Amino acid sequence: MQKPPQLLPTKLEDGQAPGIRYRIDGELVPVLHTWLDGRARRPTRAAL
Amino acid sequence: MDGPAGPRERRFSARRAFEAFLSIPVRAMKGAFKRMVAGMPIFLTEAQGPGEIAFSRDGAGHLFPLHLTPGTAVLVREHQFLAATGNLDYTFNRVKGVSNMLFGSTGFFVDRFSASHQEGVLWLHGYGNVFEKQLAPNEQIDIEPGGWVYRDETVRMEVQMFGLKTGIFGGGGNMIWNRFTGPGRVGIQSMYLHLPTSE
Repeated sequence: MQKPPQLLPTKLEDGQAPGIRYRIDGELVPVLHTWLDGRARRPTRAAL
Repeated sequence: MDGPAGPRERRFSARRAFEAFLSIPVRAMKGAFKRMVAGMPIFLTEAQGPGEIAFSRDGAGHLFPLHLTPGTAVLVREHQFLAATGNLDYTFNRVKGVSNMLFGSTGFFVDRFSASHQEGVLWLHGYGNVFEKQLAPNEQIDIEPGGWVYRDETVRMEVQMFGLKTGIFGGGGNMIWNRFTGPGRVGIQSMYLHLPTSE
């Protein structure tokens, strides 16, 4: 039997990747908080 | 369901950027003209730390990260991108013909993000909640065209069109599905919201 699609986490307390830490908060209109350590060679980008 | 259309919907809000060394320049995207004609975002903001910055989108939904390891790529349906680390490579493709059958328009964009030398993070937004289906090799799932958010590059997508010839919909047109074939992941949003792409 096929496994049904799984709900992705709606909150994330301590996300990390090279040069950045982040957190996702909120239920209805969630917010992504990021902390940049300044060591990344290329900046974080977002759609305007 | 129709939602807010146009650039306003796709705007992100940088709510806080309060450390003195955070710089936030704005630059145009490659292929900006094509995207502008289609009503898609044409500018990216770039934030360079150290510092803190927060993002949201003026729509009810679900934010989630996708971590891309070197050598991997994901394809993202238009309007779903929120932010990405700068070490990811970005291109986009115009998918012509398919959306003729979807929304009465003549094409839509699929963004491609890939990691070449270092892990990167991509943050996407889906309406309602976002679910992920992990497809085994040759396993398939059919999704309404407005319902998918992202897929691994290893996942193949085809359009399935069914003519409605009988019943109350007889002669009423076609029913369209996108058929995804594994291996790989497909992201699905639970709320169907089509943002018209003006052409």
